[in-house]
Amino acid sequence: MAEIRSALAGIYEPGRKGAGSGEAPVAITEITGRDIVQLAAWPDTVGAVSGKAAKPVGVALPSDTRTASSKGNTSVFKTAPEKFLIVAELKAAMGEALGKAFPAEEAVVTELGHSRTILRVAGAAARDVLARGVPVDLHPDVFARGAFAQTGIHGVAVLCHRSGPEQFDLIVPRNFAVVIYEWLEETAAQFGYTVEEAAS
Amino acid sequence: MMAQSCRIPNGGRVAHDAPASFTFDGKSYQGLKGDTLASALLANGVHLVGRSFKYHRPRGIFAAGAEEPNALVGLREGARAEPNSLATTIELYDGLIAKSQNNWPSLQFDVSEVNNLFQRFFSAGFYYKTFIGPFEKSWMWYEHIIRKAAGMGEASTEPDPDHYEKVYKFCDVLVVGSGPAGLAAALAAGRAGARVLLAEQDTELGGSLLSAPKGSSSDQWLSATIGELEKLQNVEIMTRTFTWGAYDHGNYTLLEKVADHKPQPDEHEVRQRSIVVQTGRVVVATGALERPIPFGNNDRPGIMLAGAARTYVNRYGVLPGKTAVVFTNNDSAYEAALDLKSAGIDVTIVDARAKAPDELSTACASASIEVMSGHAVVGANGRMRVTSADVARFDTKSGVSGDVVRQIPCDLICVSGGWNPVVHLSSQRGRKPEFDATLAAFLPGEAPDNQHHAGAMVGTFSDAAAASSGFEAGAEAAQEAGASKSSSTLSTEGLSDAGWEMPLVPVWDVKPGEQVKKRKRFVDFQHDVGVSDVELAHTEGYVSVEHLKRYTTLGMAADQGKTSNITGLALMAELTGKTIPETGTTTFRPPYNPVSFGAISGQETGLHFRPLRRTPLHEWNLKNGAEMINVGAWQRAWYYPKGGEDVNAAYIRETEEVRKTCGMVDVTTLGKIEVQGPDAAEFLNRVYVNGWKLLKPGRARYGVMLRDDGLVFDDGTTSRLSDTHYFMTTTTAEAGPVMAHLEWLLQCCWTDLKVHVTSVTDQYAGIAVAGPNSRALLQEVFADIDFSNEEFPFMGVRETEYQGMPVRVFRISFSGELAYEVATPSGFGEAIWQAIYDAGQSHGLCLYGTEALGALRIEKGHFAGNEIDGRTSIEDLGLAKMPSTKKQFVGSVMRQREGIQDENRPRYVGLEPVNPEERLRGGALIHPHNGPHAGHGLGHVSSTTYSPALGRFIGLGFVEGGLDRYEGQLVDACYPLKGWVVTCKVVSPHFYDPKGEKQNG
Repeated sequence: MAEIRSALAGIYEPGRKGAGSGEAPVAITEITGRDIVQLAAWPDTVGAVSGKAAKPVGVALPSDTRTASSKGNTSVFKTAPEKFLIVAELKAAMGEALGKAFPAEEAVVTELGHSRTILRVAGAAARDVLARGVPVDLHPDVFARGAFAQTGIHGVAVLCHRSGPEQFDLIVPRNFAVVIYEWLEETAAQFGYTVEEAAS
Repeated sequence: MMAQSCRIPNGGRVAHDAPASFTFDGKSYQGLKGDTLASALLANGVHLVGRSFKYHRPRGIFAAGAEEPNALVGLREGARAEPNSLATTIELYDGLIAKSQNNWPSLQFDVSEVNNLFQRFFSAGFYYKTFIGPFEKSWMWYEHIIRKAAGMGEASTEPDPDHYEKVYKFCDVLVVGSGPAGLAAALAAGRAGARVLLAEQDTELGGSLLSAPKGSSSDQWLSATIGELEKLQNVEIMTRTFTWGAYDHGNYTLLEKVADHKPQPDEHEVRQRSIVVQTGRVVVATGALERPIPFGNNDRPGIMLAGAARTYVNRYGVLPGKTAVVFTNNDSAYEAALDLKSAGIDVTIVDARAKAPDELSTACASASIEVMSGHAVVGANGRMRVTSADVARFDTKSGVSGDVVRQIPCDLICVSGGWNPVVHLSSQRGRKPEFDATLAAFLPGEAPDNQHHAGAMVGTFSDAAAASSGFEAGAEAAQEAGASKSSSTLSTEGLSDAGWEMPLVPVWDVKPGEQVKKRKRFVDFQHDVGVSDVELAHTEGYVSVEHLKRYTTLGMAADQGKTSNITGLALMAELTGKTIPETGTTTFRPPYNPVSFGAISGQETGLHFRPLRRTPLHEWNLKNGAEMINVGAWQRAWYYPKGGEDVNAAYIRETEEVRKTCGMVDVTTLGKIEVQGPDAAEFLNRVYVNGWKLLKPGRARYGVMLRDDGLVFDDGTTSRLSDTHYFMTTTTAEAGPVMAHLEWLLQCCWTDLKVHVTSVTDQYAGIAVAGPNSRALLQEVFADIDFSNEEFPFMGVRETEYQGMPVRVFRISFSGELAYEVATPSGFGEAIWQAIYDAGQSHGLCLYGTEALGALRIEKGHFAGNEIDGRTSIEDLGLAKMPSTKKQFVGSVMRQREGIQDENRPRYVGLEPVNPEERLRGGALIHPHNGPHAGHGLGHVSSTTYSPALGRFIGLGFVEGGLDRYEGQLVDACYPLKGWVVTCKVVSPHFYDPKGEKQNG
């Protein structure tokens, strides 16, 4: 497979930055090596499709639109009554697998892997950084591990997923990825942060 | 540097071991950590701090908090200079620089003080009455001179070097204010387990308790309460944070002054933070503000609110004077008088009431304070500082004084007319304050939506009662917000439960008796509005409070009338013979205190004013010398200059090269939408005017969409990839609106259609390759596709792979040339672009930008956003034959309206200047040739360019009746702003290859 060029190529620069020194309370990491596929069923097929998709996807599809189902590097978000956004490892070739599994009468599959950039914001101050852009209550009592919200940062539509106790994955439109990355750097500077090597 | 002549040794709550140097008007002084600029100035005996707005009268420090109307100063210098800063809320720091405002050449001697001598002319409405005549345009002529003389302070013209940000917070209970009521509320809600946010505008928690003498029993209550709050993990305490707005659904706005108490913010620190809080419940414990009583020259330096004087003595350890007259109509000022006396100030109390309560009289007697009951201060003497007070007999019933009976020498007059609850946050939610005759003040009334009210803001003035009311409110708020633990009980030990004599006898004004010298009695200090201005407004027939406010500008300064509104209202009521409730009250609106634009804009400045959208080829374009242009949120390559070319030279060259050999352009910005599902064909048939059911997979078709009203919405090319899968493109500008429209149709109108639409604009990079050599070039790069005209005709679509990267090639043309568009997943965009670019070198490939793209399409006569401007019908655009007559589609009914079908509507035409060298201007009005150049004309010019193919300037536009009426005739394109007239011939808009032999060949 040819190499996918990151939207942040030439901009993304690992290192310890911002206020203070030593271990920083915020770490920003670009997550690469993921594919994103949308599976969209119809009102009369969504139940059956959810069940049938569990096998090729590798995890049960979620029934509510606020909590993701995750297993390993696969996460599934129910983004609309009949739509699922599936983030999986590239090598799983999810689009192809689902395309084969579902005729259009049951569900349609849309490849979106190149349309998004995934930025992980982690650490003790991760929530404080995001509170400066995301108008959603990210308190762990309200927005627990696994919770996600389709929200916005700086006027850009962003899906924010709490993928760990102090870890948030932002799924960002590719053509705005630089803007959001710059925004994160600027906002995290007051706490001190590291940009980690991109990870898959 | 002078010693702090008026500082009480070891007095107050300031840090005597932490001196801080500062300058005021260039002179150096010393204060202490914990001071405000105002208290530090007073510690140095400085009372005169500014000149007033209109009359340039000398003004001093009047209050000790955010209600200060007088002591506005310019803070800091250079880019950080901030005018109209309140000396009473500026925290002192070492190195602080401030200067007085509104004076020239100096604070001591201000030329404009002559305005004061003419003040009878400068009354309400003066400017409008005087300068509106004598001739029609007088006001316009005078206005700029008047505007120049007006205004306070001067803002810096340099860019603000500091950072600001916005934060979203969430809480179950927001507590506004940290006096006894607020602290108790936070404690009750915190104990109950609610998420609590306690916001205090001051630097310290405590509110009015901080104005009590240090070591008071209330100090123990304060430290115990704060101690417990700090231990509660679910309570967040924010100081230096004022709550300025209350909005729908429990949304509140706060401003945190993060670094205003430093010369400049630390590295990576913001200066101010704008906070939006989503609250469950809110406890408003904002306290009350003391109100003054108008008397002659009541604005002189050395006159201040009694409570403020007490704060300066007790909190800041400052003596605001040596000999004080305390003028009051209520008990609260006695507390101040006693504290002033214990600090060593000689005090005389002038009480407007016939008799003070016995208890207070006794306390005063034992403290050797003389009390003059049934008297009022009718005037202050002294100009730069009070020197004495004229005291006369006063009857609260008539409100008119007798003759002056005594002139008491003093350098401080403390005044108290009672207390106004701070009802702003309740009023901002639309709740009309209610007048309470006992307190002679407005109370907030029943708490609106999610608010609870407590403490002095509901007229509960004793510390113990305020705390109890706060505790109760906090507990209730927490329960309502879902907290379940017990708040237990509140100890008020240490808090005073002393009340004041009620009902309060209001004194809204001290009208001087006949023998008393007439002097200006100010109501609104900041806007220089006096009792006489209110009287004038009444005389001239103003009845409504809202009109009074606007006519006199009372309460309209930056302090929003915190100390003046109620008095002004009461005066109006008195003049109109109505009660105060009948007269009404004004509505408070956000913000409670001034908020800087920096805090409101947060990080959204400069490059981040709005989010910038980059194509996957952005970096390549920059590296290869593209000049970029902003197109909506996008940044696109505008042109690629060679050897110092300007935009005109570059686009003409690029256009020529495309037509001669070939060129490539980044077209990623076009909207791209996947349309999928068993009913996709039916869906497209309904949204486009033309038919879609017969389109075969592997083929593309041009389509036009209408709005519901029958006018053209958007156009683009849509391809059929499989029976159930279409790939739609839209214009760059309408990509978002089209997507939203399609979703709306599917979700609200045609819920039976099994179709999903998904925006994939970010998923694919788009590269257009145009020109006679494009076929050979692409054949070389994508060898698997047969590019011959027979195998890959115009409007064909093919798919292939290039080194493992999937590629779609569409044979479509925007330029009129043989042309293709290549789409590939964004992450491969640069690699595919580079491959075409490299191969193109032997085919004479050039890079071209949006300017050449525009020139090419104008030559070809393709309309774009300039023509699809929301006013044009499909007939106007020359596509009358396109809409299907065999089906219904969005807009198919409304487009039949008479007005839209009118043949005399401006219709799409081409325009050729008679002189080929003459340039047309977009937006020019088209008038009959040599005819009257008046009115709206026959139409307008929509797009223009120089056409290298024709060797002349050309344009597109709309002319009434179009080609049918005007083809071959002359018209004048007029640009009235510049007086330009260009005579043009009306021609077909298809200037270049009208038969399409090139694109189809």
